[in-house]
Amino acid sequence: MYGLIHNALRDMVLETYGEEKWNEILNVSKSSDQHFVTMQSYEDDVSYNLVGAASEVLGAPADVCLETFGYYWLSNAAPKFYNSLLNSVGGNIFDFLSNVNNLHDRITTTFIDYKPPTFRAEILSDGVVKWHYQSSRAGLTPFVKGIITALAERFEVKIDIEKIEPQEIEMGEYSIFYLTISG
Amino acid sequence: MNSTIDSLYSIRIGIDHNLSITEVSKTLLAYMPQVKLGDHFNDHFRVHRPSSIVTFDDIDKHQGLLFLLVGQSDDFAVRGQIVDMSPLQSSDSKLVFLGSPWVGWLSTNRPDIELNISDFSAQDAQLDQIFLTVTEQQNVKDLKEIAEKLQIAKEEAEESNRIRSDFFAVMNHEMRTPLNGVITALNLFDTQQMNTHEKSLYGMAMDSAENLLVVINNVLDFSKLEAGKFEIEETSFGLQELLLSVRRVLIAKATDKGIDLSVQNLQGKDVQLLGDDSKIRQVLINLVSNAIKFTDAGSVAVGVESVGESNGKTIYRFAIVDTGHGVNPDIKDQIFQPFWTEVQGRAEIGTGLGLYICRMAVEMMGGDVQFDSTVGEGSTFWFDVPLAVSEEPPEITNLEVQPERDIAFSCSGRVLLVEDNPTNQALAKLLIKGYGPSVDVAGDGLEAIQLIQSYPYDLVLMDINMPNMGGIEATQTIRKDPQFDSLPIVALTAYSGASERDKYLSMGMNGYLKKPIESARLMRHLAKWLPPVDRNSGDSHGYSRRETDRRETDRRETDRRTEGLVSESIEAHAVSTPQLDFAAFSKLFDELGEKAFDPIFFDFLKDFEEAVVRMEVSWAEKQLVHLAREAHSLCSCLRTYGAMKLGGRMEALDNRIKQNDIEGISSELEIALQECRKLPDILKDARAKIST
Repeated sequence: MYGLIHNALRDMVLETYGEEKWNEILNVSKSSDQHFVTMQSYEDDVSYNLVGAASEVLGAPADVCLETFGYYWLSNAAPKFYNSLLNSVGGNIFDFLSNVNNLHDRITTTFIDYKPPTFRAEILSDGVVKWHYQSSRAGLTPFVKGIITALAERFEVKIDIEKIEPQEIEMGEYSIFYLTISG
Repeated sequence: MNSTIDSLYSIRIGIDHNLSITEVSKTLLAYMPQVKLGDHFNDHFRVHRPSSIVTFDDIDKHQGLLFLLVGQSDDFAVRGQIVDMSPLQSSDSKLVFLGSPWVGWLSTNRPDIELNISDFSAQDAQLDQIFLTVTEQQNVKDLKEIAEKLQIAKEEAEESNRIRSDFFAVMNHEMRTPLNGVITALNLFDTQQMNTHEKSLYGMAMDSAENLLVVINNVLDFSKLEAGKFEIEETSFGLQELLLSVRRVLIAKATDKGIDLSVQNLQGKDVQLLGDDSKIRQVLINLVSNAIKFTDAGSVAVGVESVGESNGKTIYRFAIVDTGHGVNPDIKDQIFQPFWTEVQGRAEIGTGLGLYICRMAVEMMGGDVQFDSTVGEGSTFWFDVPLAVSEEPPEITNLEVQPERDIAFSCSGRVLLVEDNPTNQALAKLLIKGYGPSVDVAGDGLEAIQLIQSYPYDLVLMDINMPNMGGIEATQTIRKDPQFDSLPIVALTAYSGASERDKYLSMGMNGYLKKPIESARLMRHLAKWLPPVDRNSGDSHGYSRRETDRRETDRRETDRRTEGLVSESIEAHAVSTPQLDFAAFSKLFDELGEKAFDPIFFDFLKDFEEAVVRMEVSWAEKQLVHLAREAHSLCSCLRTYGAMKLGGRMEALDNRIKQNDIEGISSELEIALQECRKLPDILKDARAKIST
């Protein structure tokens, strides 16, 4: 993953827990990097180790950490790094859910080593969306759940996640989010 | 067809021959809803590029070129191409503009417009370019942030270094001064009056204080190394004198343990060398001290020999061989590292800095240090140092203790002694005359210049600190006259630092003689500059001097031990001395004879008491310049009479005044005055002792 993600995680920990905790997380993760370059690609292990270390140091389960991070990512980090692009994804929740894959396609033309997830929105009926999430990386569904919570705040709607249906695939992760959107 | 085209190009504007708009895409209408079919093209758009487009024909001729269109109200902008679609469709359009929103113009002129990702077809690269721009901006921001952090880290590191240097400079004084006070106070005890238990406690206190001084010296040396302030100096020194000095410092420790300590110059003859003798001595004392520490029985032997040549210098190997415990070869790579200590039982021995400091000192001198060892049998530590041979002749020093012998040296000529202190004048004059030349005396630089212009002198011995005109100014004035270009002028100085000595040489002086004046060193200078007299000529001025090796070396040992307490010498851990070095006192008596000694001695006692009063008054009136002059003047006199400790105290006081260290002056002066009040009786007792 790109340093962008690690720096966002660092910012989140610094804001909530302070520098000492972040340094502890770095030590526990055995990261050789004390500072991450935003637009540099790092091995996925670095990211997983950081999340694992954060879970250990902060005393929270990994999926809780990921969900919290997903929320922080969309509320704070993504707007900070590429707000204009984020705004272009859609002016309402439905456009956003439908266009977000397009955004990830664009990211891929610039971040050559980046293997982004794919998203697909099925608008089933008024306010009901079946949102498909698929990634070559496993274990990040809680992160996406956190993003959905942040999206609800961003577009000032209420989103109920009725269920998350994991799908069997050979490698990576595939989850279908059943969303009811109101307000 | 339109839906196919719209999937490739989100902006579509069709026009006919009359430039009427015949078709328009949904994306354009979303941003320019006022556009209606049938409206004139020019009512809504101006052509930014190509230029000079007015008619349909103009447009037609520029098919294939990039078209940039801006809304007449500056409400929107698009970019694309004009193509002739008439063969492909059945509409009235003759020409069709196909393109996408012009992101560059919009972000500059209409940043309020928020484009949607769906406003661009999938193959349109403009959004990618935005992303690229954003990431590049982020890269620059990252680099700036890293550069700022590096700059802060660099400044913090520099500040930390400065604070550490200042800290150790202060600690140098703050740690040594009270410890010197403890050791001095302990030395003032009369151990003769103590019972066995008290002597034991006294011994423990003295040992602890001296060991602590060694630790402090090691720690401060280490800090100097880390701060890059451990400097190598170059002075002229005798090889055999160096070995002897090491033996003198450590013989007591070796004897206490029943170990035989020997030193040997394997070259056979003495040689005068150029190098940092204090560092070499420091390394030798450290290694020999370790050898003694870790040897329970047997011997420690120190030897030196030349082992090669390099870049015009001779490589000297100093080796220390012991019959001690030996060193485990497993620790070979660690033993010279900082903070490595040997563990015996559950106790760590030492600070772990001594060998590291040795290694660094040797390496800074261009050498290296090694060892070889067998556990249970002993060790050999050695270090090689490249040294140049000095032009000065070696001093007569023998490693073997010899019976008293006569050495006769005579010279002729006329010497001008420039010295303001009456006692020093009298003593120096006597010493010089003892070798044969006639001696005139000047009390300051001005008087010296007058005498030099009036009489022919073969040698001038010039004190530095004098009233009216000091030695440096006088020398510079003398040198302005070409007829005195080659007149030998030797500085008389109490300072032994290389920087001070180099300063005198650069100011026009030909050499330096340390005060208090030692006969042997005086003789070297007289021999260098004055014509010798044949010993067999019966010249009544011939001087016969008995040199007793033990007394000469004992006196130097005392001198060095005393200086070690107030300077940074590692020899401060050697055995402490009493207030008066009787050997030095009686040597002076022997050299001058009772007839010459007594008048000068009793005059000195009178002058000394008056000088002490003047010091007290100067301090009370905060006349620091006067106080410094008195201290400086007394320093060499006191040492001449064997009052080494008090002489060192005066030198330390002089240094504190130079540093304007008011607290240091106060504490130093208090102890000095206490000792001054006791000294006259001590000196009178010593004089009485000689008589008996």
